Formats: sequence, C-alpha cells, structure tokens
Amino acid sequence: MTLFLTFAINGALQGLLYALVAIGFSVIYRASKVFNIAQGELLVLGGFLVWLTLMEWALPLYLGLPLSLALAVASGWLIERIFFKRLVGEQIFAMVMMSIALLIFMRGFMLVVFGPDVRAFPAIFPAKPIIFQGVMVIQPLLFGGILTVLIAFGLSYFFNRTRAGLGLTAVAEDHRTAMDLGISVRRASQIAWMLGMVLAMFGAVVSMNGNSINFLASGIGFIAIPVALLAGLEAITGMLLAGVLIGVVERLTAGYIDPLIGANFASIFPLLLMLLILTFRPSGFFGWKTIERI
Amino acid sequence: MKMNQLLLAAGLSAVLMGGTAALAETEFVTPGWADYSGPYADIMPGWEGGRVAVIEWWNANKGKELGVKLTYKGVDGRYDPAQVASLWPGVLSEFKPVLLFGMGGADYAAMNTRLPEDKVPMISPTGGYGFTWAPNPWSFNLRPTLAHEAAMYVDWRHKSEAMTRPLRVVVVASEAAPAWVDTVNGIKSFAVGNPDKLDIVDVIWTTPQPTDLTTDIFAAVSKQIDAVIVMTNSAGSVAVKRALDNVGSDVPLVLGAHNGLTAAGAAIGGMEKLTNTFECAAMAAPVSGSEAAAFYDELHGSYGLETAWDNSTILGVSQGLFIAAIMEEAISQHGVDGLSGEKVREVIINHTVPAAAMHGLTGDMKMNNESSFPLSGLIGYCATVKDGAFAVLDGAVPVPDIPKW
Repeated sequence: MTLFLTFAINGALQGLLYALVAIGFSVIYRASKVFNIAQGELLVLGGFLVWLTLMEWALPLYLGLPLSLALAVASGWLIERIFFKRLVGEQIFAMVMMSIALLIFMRGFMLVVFGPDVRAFPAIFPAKPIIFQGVMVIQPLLFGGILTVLIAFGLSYFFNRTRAGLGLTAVAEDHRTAMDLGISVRRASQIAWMLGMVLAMFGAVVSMNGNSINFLASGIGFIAIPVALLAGLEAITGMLLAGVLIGVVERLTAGYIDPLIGANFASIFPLLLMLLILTFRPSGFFGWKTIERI
Repeated sequence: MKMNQLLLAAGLSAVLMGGTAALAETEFVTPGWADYSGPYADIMPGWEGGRVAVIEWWNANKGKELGVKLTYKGVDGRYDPAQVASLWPGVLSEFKPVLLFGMGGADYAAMNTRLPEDKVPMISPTGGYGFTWAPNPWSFNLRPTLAHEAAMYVDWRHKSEAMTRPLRVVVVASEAAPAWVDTVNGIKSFAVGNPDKLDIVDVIWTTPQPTDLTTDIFAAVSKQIDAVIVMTNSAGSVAVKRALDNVGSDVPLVLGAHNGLTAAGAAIGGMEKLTNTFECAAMAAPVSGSEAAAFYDELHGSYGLETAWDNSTILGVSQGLFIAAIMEEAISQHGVDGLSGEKVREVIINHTVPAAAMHGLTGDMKMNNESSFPLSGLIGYCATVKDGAFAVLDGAVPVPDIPKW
C-alpha cells in the first residue's frame, strides 16, 4: 500500500510538472493562436539560462534566479520579434510551420551556443525526499506542484478577470476581429511569448533540479502535449486535472504494468491517450467549443 | 663538353625521375561517421581527435615507408540511422572507401545491408550487439557487447567478494535506442546462463533524459538489491546517482565506458560525487603510466592530439590503430593496386592484429566470421572513483561468456 501511495503521489506531482509545461502551450496559444511545438526547446533554453547564471557565472541564488527570469523574458520577446512578428493575421498553417522552424533553429542554436556537453544543473529545491510512514514524496516535484497550482490559478484569473488578460484572449479568437476591436495583436503576441518563456524556465527548474542539462533535454515538451490536449488548449486550470490524471496513470503503469510486460508501456501511454482525444474529443475536456455559422 | 652536358642532363633527369617515383604515394580515403549534433556529441571531439591523430602518426611513420597516405574524412551522421543512410551514397561515390570508421548501432542499423552490397567493411570501437552476433559480418566492433561488459562487473564482484549467492541487480534502460534494449536482453541472457551469479530483480524503463528517478530507485532499493546497472548515457547515469543519493542508498552503481566515470563525473559536477560507482570495459583504462598512455603522450606531443586522455579519446585512438594495422596488412598482402573492400574484409577476418600494434590499447585483436565482435580472449578493467579520481581496481578482468541471445 505504501508503495502504491508513493507511486500515486509522485505520479500526481510529476503530472503537475507536465501541466506546468502544458500551461506554456496554453498561454502562447491563448494570446497568439500559435500552437508552439517548440515549447520543449524553450524549456531547455530556460534551463540553460538558469545554468548560465547559477553555475557558469556562479551568482548567488537571490541574484541568479531573477537575472535568469529577466533573460527569459528578453528571450521570449526576441523570439516573438524574430519569428512571429510578421505573422500577425496570417493563416494558422504559416504559424505552425514557423513553430516547426523555431524548434529546429532552437536545437541548433543551443548546440552552437552551449555546446554538446551534459552539464550539472543546480539544485534549487531540496533534493532529499520526504518519507512519512513509508510513503516517499519527492521534494522538488512537491515544490514544483505548489508552484504550478499557484501559476495556474494566477494566470486563469489574469486571462478571465482582468482587462489586459481578456484582451489577450480575444486575440486567440481571431486576429482580425481583435485588431478591429482596437486590441494590439502585436503586443498580445509579445506578452504571450514572454510568459511562455518564463513558464518554460520554471519547468526547467523543477524538472532538472539537481540533475543535468544538455541540448537534447526537450523531451518533456512532447509529453506535455497530451496534457494540453486532454484539458483543452485554452483551459489553464484544466491542465492541472489533466496533468494529475496522466501523471498518476503513467506512474502506476511504470510501477505495475511495465515489469509484467517487460517494456516501457508507460512512456507511450500519454501519446496513446493523445490519439484517443484527437479522435473523439478534439477540443479536450475543458477547451472552448467553437460554434461556427454556416 | 657537349657529351658532358648530355651526361649531366641525363643524370639530373634520372635523379628527378627517381625522386618523383620515390615521392609518389597512393592515397586511400577512409571516411568516418561522426556525431556532432546527436546523443554522442559530447564525446565526439575526443573520439574523432583520436582517429585523426593516429592517421597522422601512421602517415608520418608507416605510410611514408609504404608510399601510402591515409586521408580521414569525418561525416556527421548525427548517430541517426536515417541521416547515415541518406549520406552514405554520397560518401561512397565521392571517396570510394575500402574501409570505414563507424560509431555503433545507428550506423549498423543504416548500413547493415548496404555494406555487403557495396563491399565496404566498417570498424567501430564500441561494443557489439546481440543483433550483430550473426555470421558473415561486414561491420566489426573492437569490443564485446555492453552486456558482456556489465557481466564483467558481476563476475568480478562475485569473485572479489567470494559471494555464494547470485548478485541481485536492477537495470535502468531506455527503449529510445535499440542498443540499450539489446543490452538488457544480453544481461538477461547472462542471468539465465549463470543463475548462481546474477538475479535480475527488475528493469526500470525510462527516457534518455530522465526527469527524476527517485521514485523508481526508492522502490528498487527496497528489494534488497546489490547493484544498479545503467548503460544508457551520461544523463541517465546522473539521474540514477542523484536518485540513489536522494533515498540515502549506498547500493553500487555500475556504468558503461561511454556513460562512465569521467563522462558522468563531468555531468554531475565532479567525479568526487560518484562515490560507490563502478565502470567495467573491455578496453584500455584512462590511467597514466601505461603503454597506452605513453602512446597518447606521443600523439599529444607530436601529432596534434589536443583532447584529454579519457574514454572518448581511447575509442578514437584504438579505432584508428586497428584500421591502420588492417590497411598496413592489406597493402602488404595485396599491394596498393586494386585493393578493394572485399580484400580488406578478408584481412580483417583472417589476420590477428598483435597487441604490439595496438600500443596497449587492447590485447591481440582477432575478428571472426561468426560475429561482429571478438568472441574470445578479451580482457578489460573494472574501475571506481578514489579520492575524486579514476582508479582501476583490476586491470585484467576476463570477459565472461554469455549465451547468444
């Protein structure tokens, strides 16, 4: 029973980490209508910014982390300016293609700038797990989970209750209409990418805490896609539930099913789920249902 | 006077002609797969640096005597079968190689059927695989499989601790590369053939860049295990070591040479953090004072080898030495004219490259027609970290037999 609880609790926390990355998809989508396939690469870039300030420049945490945050915001702004500025009002297809181009570019860029070496990533959260009555809880994931819940509810409030957030949401509905209403699509897109980059950096801090980083560490971006699709791309708080669901099932599969079949079924489970969602409920469980006039 | 001038002209012509003949050299281009943008990009500078330096050394010494020049051309295949397959036709038509430097499983997957058709043998310094354990190979490995090297640790520990029960281990692997799955299958085969020595308690399947393995390791160490074996990559080594530290376990961690003490030490922030971690491999150990280290010093001092004396450089140097020795023997047996990949392959199968020609990086190297890798007579080392430095525990560990899988 204690092992089951260990698997379930840490699975839920791992799922919240997926949710944190998936919220990055959501924020960029909600404010710019771009499904950013390169979110995993943004996470690696965010991770390298933290590594740069805390390990390479050896700054203390209270200086290094805010500086990483500032660099992440600047990076998001720069990415938007270079890649997406001219796509305002263009077709979705152009944005998807640009997102793929960004993924390829980022991978090469990080290889050239940071090199191929596997590097030690700083431990920002305490690494020692909490063990209570035989049940073990991973501390970095616990802190990451708390951070994710706070971010999700904060962003949900921003997008649904504030004037600026509702303006961004309008952009996701339709660029042309938003511009006709006097909303600056350019500004919305810039904010979205800066937020997306900050979320990616937080994702890197939680997922790589005390482990290692290299240019190939972007795989978590793809695992987060099923979470985003299960919740619905626009549903920020829905990501929490979707993440927990996927994380728990994945963890229990790894703990109980994989040893029986002798293969890594747990890793394909989220992707299998993604195929089912796309087939039967493309808008996810909490996503917007678009009503189109024919 | 006229006669003298004629004689002088004739003499000069003879000298010049002779000199030209002496200077004429036959060039063989030996291309090599490299990976500067894939999973082994971090160890490629040392690996390719070793290859290039050995070719330079051979050209300056043996090649000069034979009137032969070997030219190395690196091609970035990204350790990706699709990339390797797409680049190969261009490599073949441009360089017309008779022998090829390989890396490992990705090259094999891409070229296994092409090499016999195109009549070009390939040499890799990495471990072989269960799926390359087949007759009539055209791709050869200098080392046995990673499973053999994991079994070296099991055998060594069993003997050194005089154990009377099987070693209980957990293997951490990933399905992202066929080679890693093959390693698990090979270790399982060793366990089946040696139930008195090895008991595989569990296999933990994860991703190539694991997020956090604390939960998995927490569950594993509760099963009273004796070791955790990780043969994937440096990120995997770090994730398992961190997880063992997190749960406060001192269960030994066993790594392969490619994701071993030096590579994982750099990735975790210092080799001193790899306490109770081991590495066994059927190759030279990166220690000073050996014949292999002396040869490295020569390459470093005189042939432009800039990378450190570590496992990646050893891979390149041993690969270069074996290829140079095979080319030398092939030229001696068949001459330079009409030397073909088929003839070179015959030499690989039939000729034993003596340990002296390998400068202490391996023992005698004898390939065979039954497998891509040597099936007998191999020895290696088991090492650990002592006082934050690489320390060989046993420099003559025999490679155990494993039933074919």
